[in-house]
Order: sequence, then C-alpha cells, then structure tokens
Amino acid sequence: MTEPVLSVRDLHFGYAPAGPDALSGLNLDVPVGATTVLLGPNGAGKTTLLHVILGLLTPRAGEVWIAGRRQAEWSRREASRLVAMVPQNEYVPFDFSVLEFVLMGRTPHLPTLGMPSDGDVTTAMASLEALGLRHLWNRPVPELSGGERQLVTLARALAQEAPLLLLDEPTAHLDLANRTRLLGLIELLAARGSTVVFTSHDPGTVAPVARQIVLLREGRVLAAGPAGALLTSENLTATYGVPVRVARVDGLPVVLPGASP
Amino acid sequence: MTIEEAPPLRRVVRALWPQAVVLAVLVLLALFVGRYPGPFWTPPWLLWQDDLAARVVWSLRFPRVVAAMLLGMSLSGAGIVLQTVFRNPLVEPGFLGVSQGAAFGAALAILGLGAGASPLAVEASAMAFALAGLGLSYAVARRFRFGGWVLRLVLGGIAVSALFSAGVGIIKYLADPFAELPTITFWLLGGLSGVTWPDVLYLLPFVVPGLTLVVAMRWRLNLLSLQDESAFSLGSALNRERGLLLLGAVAAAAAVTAVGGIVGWIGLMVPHLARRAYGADSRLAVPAALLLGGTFAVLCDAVARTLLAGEIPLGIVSSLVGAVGFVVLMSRVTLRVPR
Repeated sequence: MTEPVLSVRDLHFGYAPAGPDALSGLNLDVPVGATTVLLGPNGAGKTTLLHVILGLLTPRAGEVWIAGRRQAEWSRREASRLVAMVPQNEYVPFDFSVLEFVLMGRTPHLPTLGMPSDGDVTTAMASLEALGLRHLWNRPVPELSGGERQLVTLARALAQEAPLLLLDEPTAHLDLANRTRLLGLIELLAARGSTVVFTSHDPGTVAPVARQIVLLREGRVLAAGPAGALLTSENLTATYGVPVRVARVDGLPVVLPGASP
Repeated sequence: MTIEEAPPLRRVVRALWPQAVVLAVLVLLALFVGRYPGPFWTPPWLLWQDDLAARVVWSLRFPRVVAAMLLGMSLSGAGIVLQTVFRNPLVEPGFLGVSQGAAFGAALAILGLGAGASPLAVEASAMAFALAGLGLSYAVARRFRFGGWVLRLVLGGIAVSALFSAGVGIIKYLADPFAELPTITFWLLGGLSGVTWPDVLYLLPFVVPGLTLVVAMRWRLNLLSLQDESAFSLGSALNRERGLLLLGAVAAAAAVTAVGGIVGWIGLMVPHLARRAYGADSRLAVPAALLLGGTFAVLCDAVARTLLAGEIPLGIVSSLVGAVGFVVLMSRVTLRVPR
C-alpha cells in the first residue's frame, strides 16, 4: 500500500466568515497515480475543494496533507513544484504566444527573479510535443479555440513537472473529439506517473479514466470508490437529486436521465 | 527548427538596442532644440561662444530633458504594471487615486501659499497627496465587502479619485480667478517648464528604485496576468507580489506627476505600443515600454517648448499626439477586453 500523495481530513471551509460551510467534514485519500474524479452537481464544492487543496483558500478546520506534509507547511515555491492546477477555461487578456504561456509553467524551477533558459524552452516544447500541440507554439493564446486553450493550459501544467495535477472541469467546454482526446491525455499522464485529480459534473464521460470516483454533494462526500462499483443509479440519484439510471455497454457504465422503466 | 533562448540581458539588448539608440540620439538632439537664440535651434558651437547659450542648455534644457525622459519611463512603466496586474488593458497609472491626489495636493498648495508658491512646495504637497491617494485607495479597498481583491482596488481607486477631483473643484471655485486659478489650471495641464536639477534629484529616489523593481520582477509580472489559481499554483505570492509591483510603479508615477503635473495618455498608450511591437511577454514588453515612453515624452516636451513662442502645456501635446496614436493603434490591432 503506497502512501497517499494527497490526503484530506475532516475539512471545513466557508466563504463568508459567519456563513455556511461550503465544505463540511470532507475526507479524501488519493494514492499515487490513482486518477481521481470529483463528481457532483454544480455547487457541490468541487472547485472549492481544489482551491483548498491548492492552498489558495484557507480552511476553517481540518487538514490537507500533500506528499507527507501539511499543505500550509510547504513554502510557495515547494508547493508549486508539487501541485499544478489547470483552471476551468483560463482567460488570458494579453497576446502571449503559446510557448511563452507554457514557459510560465517553468517558474517553480527558476531562481528567484530568474527568467527561463534554453533548458526551460526545451522542456516547454517537450510538453507541447507530448500533447501533440507543437505546431501551435507561436500562436497567440487568445486566438486559440476553447479546446486548444484547454490543452495548452494542460501543457503548461505538464511543464511544471509537479507530481499532483488538479484539473477543474477539464472536459466542460469540449466537443466529443476534444473530450476524448483530453481524457486520453489524462490516461497518458497517469501512465507517466502523474497523479491526476479532476472535477466533473458529467458522470457519463469520466468512468473510463477514473481509478477512483468521489461523489460530492453540498460539501460532503456521499461515496467514494472505483467507477464500476460506485456509478449505480441509487448513488447518482442521491448525488444529483434527480432520477438517474445506469446501463452497461462493454462493461462500462452509461448514465441516462430518468427513472428505470 | 530550433527555438533558442538567449540569456535575459542579451535578449533585451538584441531586441531593443535600436530603441535605446533612438532615445539617446533624441535626448542629445533635444538639448539643442528650443527657442534660443532664435526659434527651433541652438547651434552646438554656441556652447563655447555664448555663456547664456551654455547656461540655457546645461541648466535649463538638460534637467528638463532628463525629467521628461524619467516622466515618460515612469508613466509607461506604471501603465504596463497596472494593466497587467489588473488584467485590464484600459487602466492607466493615475488610476489608484494618484493623479487626482497629486492634482489636489498641488491645488491646495497654490491656494494656501498663493500664486507665487515655490515650485518645490507645490511638488512636495502634490507628492504627499498622490501617495495619500494610493494609500487611501488601498485602505478603502480593504474595507469594501464586495468582490475580489482586484475589483475592490479598482473601485477604491475610482472612489478616491472622485473624492480628490471634487476637492480640486472646490479649490478652483475658491481660488482667486486672476492669480491662483490660472496657476492651478496650468499645473493641471501638465508641463516641465521651470524644472531644474534639484527637481531631477528629487525624482531619482522614487523613480530609480521603483522602475528597477518593475524591471527585475517582470517575469513575475507575467504570472499575475493569469487567473489567480494559475498564478498561485505557479508559486506566485499573489498579494505580496502585486503589492510590491504596484508600490514601485505607482511611487515612480506619483513622483513624476508631482513634478510634471497631469500628463495624460503616455501611461495608457505606450504599453499598448510596446506589446504590439514586442509581444505581450513582459521580459521584452516592460523594457520596451520604458524606452518608448521615455522617447515619446522627450519628443512631446521638445514640441511643447519649441513650437510656439509661449510654452504649450505638455499634457496637451501628449494627449493630442497620444490620442491620435491611440486611434491608429486601436484600429490596426485587436484588443481583448473582458466583458
């Protein structure tokens, strides 16, 4: 049994000081290499949880452990070498080229006030290459399509060379082809040794790549486990609050709205 | 195809040496442009023949040209920092209460000390209130209970600017229309007439550290143009780095505003020009903005003091040239403004 790379214990978080908990008493373990999907309806606390894991938000109570230490004990630079984040739909207001944008992913490995060197450019180009995006290197990021931008942001996270990758709704704005491609890339990253944690509100697409699925509702974990066992109509009906049925095609769960006939 | 990455300094030098040469040549030329002995031109050999010409060039024009260069560099450096930190290409450096604060400070000093107030007293008061404007915007932003940090700071800046702007209005209303009011109005239009070496020395402790900080942190500035969670995950200490960059940039802008009055458009337009010419990456865009800003301000100042027998306020020249330039720029380039 390997040590979990990420471990969340009895986590409480709220946005307003006296407001309600957005996350209440949440527990989570992510073993090394186990692609984990945080699945739940809009507003379940998925993005909030990613931000707390990242350290951007400070919890009211509870602990986040990353690579054997409390999240808050890592310095900013150490943390940035451990955890990379791909936000949902990154908006870039200026005309950075794809290469410049991906180079920013090298920042955790630069000296204080340092600038990227030849070696960093090689790593950035290799990240683009790994995702099949090399041809885009000189294009302005704001001119890319939504799908390309998502993949380029993933390349930036890859250039960061952090063992833990957090992706916020990576498939949300993608068409079928890009979604398939992105999920394939997540599998590739997992095969290369990264631990990927990503959120989704769509149970249908994530089952093939998920080693572990965590069902979230109203800031709590309803259930966690392997996709095959977890994606049942009872569990999903409880998670989403509407009747859901689950069929099987080639052993994989397919989620359909509505009650069983 | 190989994509090569030169060390930062060599990269900047290689891309920007023509700009630096243009600025240096322009500074040199500007020393000999003016209205002594005749309109437009002081022949260089007069420096050895005519004592007055030598005094005009070394004691009046030289400090003035240096001040214009520092003013242009500070305003465009501050402009590119504010636009990037606020992730909004329409922000200008006076934005965080600095311009209106300086205007209020200057107007107050002129009202209190009379139209003959010593320029250094007016500058000191303008500087004090420019920094007060910045501090107040920050303090107000901290108290707001609405939106994220950036939005609060923007709103704080708008509120404080409006407050000082109202104060300037009251002072103008109270001022003697034949003595103090024209002095205030002329100050508000911006200009470097009467700038001497002590003014330049007084600028240096704000401008040099401020701009050095901005240049040194320009890669970190790139990160701040990303969304919070991205910049944070790349190791940015968001509020500390934003605070440092804003403080350095705005201190420089406040100092030159205190000396030169409100000179518009440089801080808004030059960053766009720099990004358009050299790309959005701050590694080149920041030094490019400094050089282009210095060049533009030296040019505008030379026009302001040479074109007519009387001095044209620098703010008028920079706005005129800047606005026309901006229209041309905007119609030839796509800007992305968040909606």
